[in-house]
Amino acid sequence: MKLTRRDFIKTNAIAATATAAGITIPGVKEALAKVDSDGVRWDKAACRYCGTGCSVLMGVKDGKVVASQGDPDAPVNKGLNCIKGYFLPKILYGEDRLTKPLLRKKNGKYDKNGDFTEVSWDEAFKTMAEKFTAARKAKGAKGIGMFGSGQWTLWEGYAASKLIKAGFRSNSLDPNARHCMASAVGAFMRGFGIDEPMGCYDDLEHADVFVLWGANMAEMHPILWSRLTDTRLTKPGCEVHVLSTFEHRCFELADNGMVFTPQTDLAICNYIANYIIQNKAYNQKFIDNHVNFNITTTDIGYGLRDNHPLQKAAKNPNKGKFNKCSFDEYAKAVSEYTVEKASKMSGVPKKNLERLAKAYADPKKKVTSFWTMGMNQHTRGVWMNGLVYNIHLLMGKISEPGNSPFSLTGQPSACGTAREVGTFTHRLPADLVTKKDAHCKFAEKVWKLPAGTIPRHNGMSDNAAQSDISGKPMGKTLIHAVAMHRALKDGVMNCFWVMCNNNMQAAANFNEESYPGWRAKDNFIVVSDPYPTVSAQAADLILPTAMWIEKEGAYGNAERRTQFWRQQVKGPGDAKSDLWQLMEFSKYVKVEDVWPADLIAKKPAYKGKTLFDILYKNGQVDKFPKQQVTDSEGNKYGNDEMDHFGFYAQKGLFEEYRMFNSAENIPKKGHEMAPFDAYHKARGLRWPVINGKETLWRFREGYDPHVKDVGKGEVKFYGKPDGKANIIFGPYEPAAESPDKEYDMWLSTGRVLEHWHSGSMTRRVPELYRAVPDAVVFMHKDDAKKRRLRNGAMCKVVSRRGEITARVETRGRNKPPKGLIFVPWFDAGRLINKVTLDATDPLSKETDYKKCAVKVVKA
Amino acid sequence: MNISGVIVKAYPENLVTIKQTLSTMAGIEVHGNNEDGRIVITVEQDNANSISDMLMEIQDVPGVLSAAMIYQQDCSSPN
Repeated sequence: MKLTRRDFIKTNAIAATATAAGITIPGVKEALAKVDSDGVRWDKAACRYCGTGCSVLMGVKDGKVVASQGDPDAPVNKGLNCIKGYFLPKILYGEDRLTKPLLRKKNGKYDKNGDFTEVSWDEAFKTMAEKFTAARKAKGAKGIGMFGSGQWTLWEGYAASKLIKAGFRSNSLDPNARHCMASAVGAFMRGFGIDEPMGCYDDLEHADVFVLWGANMAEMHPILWSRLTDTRLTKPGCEVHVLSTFEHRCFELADNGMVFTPQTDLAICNYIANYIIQNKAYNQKFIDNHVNFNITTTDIGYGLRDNHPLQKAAKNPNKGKFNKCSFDEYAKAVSEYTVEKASKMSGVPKKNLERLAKAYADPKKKVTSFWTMGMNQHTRGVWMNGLVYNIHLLMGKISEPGNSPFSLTGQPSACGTAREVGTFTHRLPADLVTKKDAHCKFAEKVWKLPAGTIPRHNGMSDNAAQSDISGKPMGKTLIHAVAMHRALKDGVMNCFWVMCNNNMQAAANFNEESYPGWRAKDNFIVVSDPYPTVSAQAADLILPTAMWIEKEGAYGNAERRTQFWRQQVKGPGDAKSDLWQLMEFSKYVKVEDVWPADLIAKKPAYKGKTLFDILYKNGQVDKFPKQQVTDSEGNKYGNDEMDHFGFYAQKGLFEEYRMFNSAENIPKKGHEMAPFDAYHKARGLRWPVINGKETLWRFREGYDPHVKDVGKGEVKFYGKPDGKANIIFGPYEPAAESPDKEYDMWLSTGRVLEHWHSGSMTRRVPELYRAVPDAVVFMHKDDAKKRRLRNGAMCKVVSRRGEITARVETRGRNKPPKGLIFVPWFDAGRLINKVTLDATDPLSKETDYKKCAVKVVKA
Repeated sequence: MNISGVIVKAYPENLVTIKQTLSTMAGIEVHGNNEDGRIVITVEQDNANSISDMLMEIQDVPGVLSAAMIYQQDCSSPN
């Protein structure tokens, strides 16, 4: 029987689905054997969206992606896709893709209030170079800034770090991961001295108990949720606990669903620790051998501007210092958090809290805790992450299959690019920091720069002030994401390059900080994006970007897995990848324009050179000559950057990056990666990769090759000099802004399944747009009734800072309790960040997008 | 016409009812399941009638725990 085209595709669909489900369906294999591949070239790619890091297969024919499927060989997603992944190819083909650089011009010249006019790349970069070098000279290291991305590929983040930190000699580089993962990083460094989870996704099959703390995995990490669901359905005794400030889709599977009052997660965590201690359930041997006890400085403020009343009222604003204490002192600190107190503060019934505490305290149950933005976007986010580690450490439930405190990520390479490459203001590659002179010197050696090139956090190297092109001492150099918008508004920073993110939509307090800063007359804002986002439209220069599989790339996901893909198709028109833009722009900046003469004098060979010559044509990045990229079956792939620059830039950058994480003489071990070519062959590898072997669970002998000279299966937290992890007590402290008489409701913002982040990609997929076209206000029906609002009626959400208009939804998938509303932030037509407050965790500088006070009225 | 393969997950005790409900929905065919609660279906939709609406409808069927996409191909284009 001859199959029709429809039959053929359907058979393919059934076969792929049945394989992923582990089900045999009679006749399907036989039918498939009769047909050929339809002329489609299939190759793997890491998904463009979230931090799960699914692998997808892209079917390309005649230079266009025509089909996609979940990658059956991928250990992460085992052939599954979520609804966003399913329509992935369509993000490349939105009707309004940008294809030409656009500069605001009037009468043929750049003008802040001019109209967007098509210009050449040459004109775009000449204008940019003029503006950036002038601002760098006039205003010093903070005069310019770059806001990057956890969606950058590894080499893009690495190239950007070199350009800004070494080239422009500025630490004004921060990624949008500041908005999502900074609190997680802070807690890893305080607790363990090395970033990223100790466990891996295999914990999803090994755990007996799952606890979700502020993570709606069903919508935000659907594939991990699917694996968790499988375990719940098939493993006897498996139970799922879900904590959230409102009821969401995860509650359908929950055995113990708990809705708590915002900010009281701090009290709940301390109660569990107290329960474990009161019942003497803790693992004495583990805490004796592997744990130090500490208490953190309290009353630390809310990361607002220094003149804000809440900052002035704080006793120890921004202080992160914690002091060692005894076990008894720690026990006393948590002792006030009784079940009665925790229940009263949180509104969660005692029996639910006790059930949760018992699950953690049962030595026979393996517990995996998951959390994401509910815990990170929190004015006590670093503390809160730490409080969960406290529970796991008290029980010794860590670093082994199924026992895993697991911080999930929101972006595809927040781990790989933002954190591992170190594109934060205070960081350098592989956990090195600008605070340490020795780390900077190591980076300067790898990058072949004169000593003292990279700005130290305090502008001091070898106890002497670093000289600057401005003629003044370098001074303090660190500036985080939220502070950048404040600096633009204050005129401290005049040039800002926003790449691979949509920060005008994403940053909190649009009306008072972001917008006035971007549109201030002396400021020059550049936005690189594939689409005309809210950010692009608020910029002065828009650079069109070739995205995702229009270039060769690499991402690092939440389980330390580094994944590569080849360039599958070409970008449209004059669109160029972020890597191309960073490297090509560097040709327009002369070293004399950004470095002082005394620094150049230390390396006379650099005289008269461009930043491109110094940073990328340095004998390392340009080491690998042009070649044809092929896969194991001999299929051929393009590489537009290689064609343009004449060398294999991705490979050169990655191999230079490996000098930070895999060479013999590196300052911090534990981030080892395999050589470039290995990743093109594998479905990703989890670092540390030693002798070609990946690491599933860190810090435990038998799993982690760094743990040697200890007993069999013993633990060593080698990120800390004494090999011990820190339990750090932090108390409950209130949110920055709580509801009062006038602004009587909590506002929490977040995402929905169909849209990823600001929606700049997913809203251009017709199927996803149609499914959820607009943001709505999820609200309890009694709250709606009290305000005479019916389901579907238009309402206004008003805060002290701004307002938006949207429809009321009382019957949706999210069911808030009375007194709280939830509004997604993907909708460019309803910018909820006009309403939010830019309060941050004073330690991580991450914004709390989950809590501010609003009122809701009829529109 | 867009054809896709989807795995639907449910508590085993609800399998029979859910399979019945699914097979009455336009464009859906149920191809098999296992005892753990995994069901293999295909969804056929013309482009005007959104596949994602259908996916949400599947997830809204009482007792459905998750619906995961596996494969999709558009067969209206002449490739």
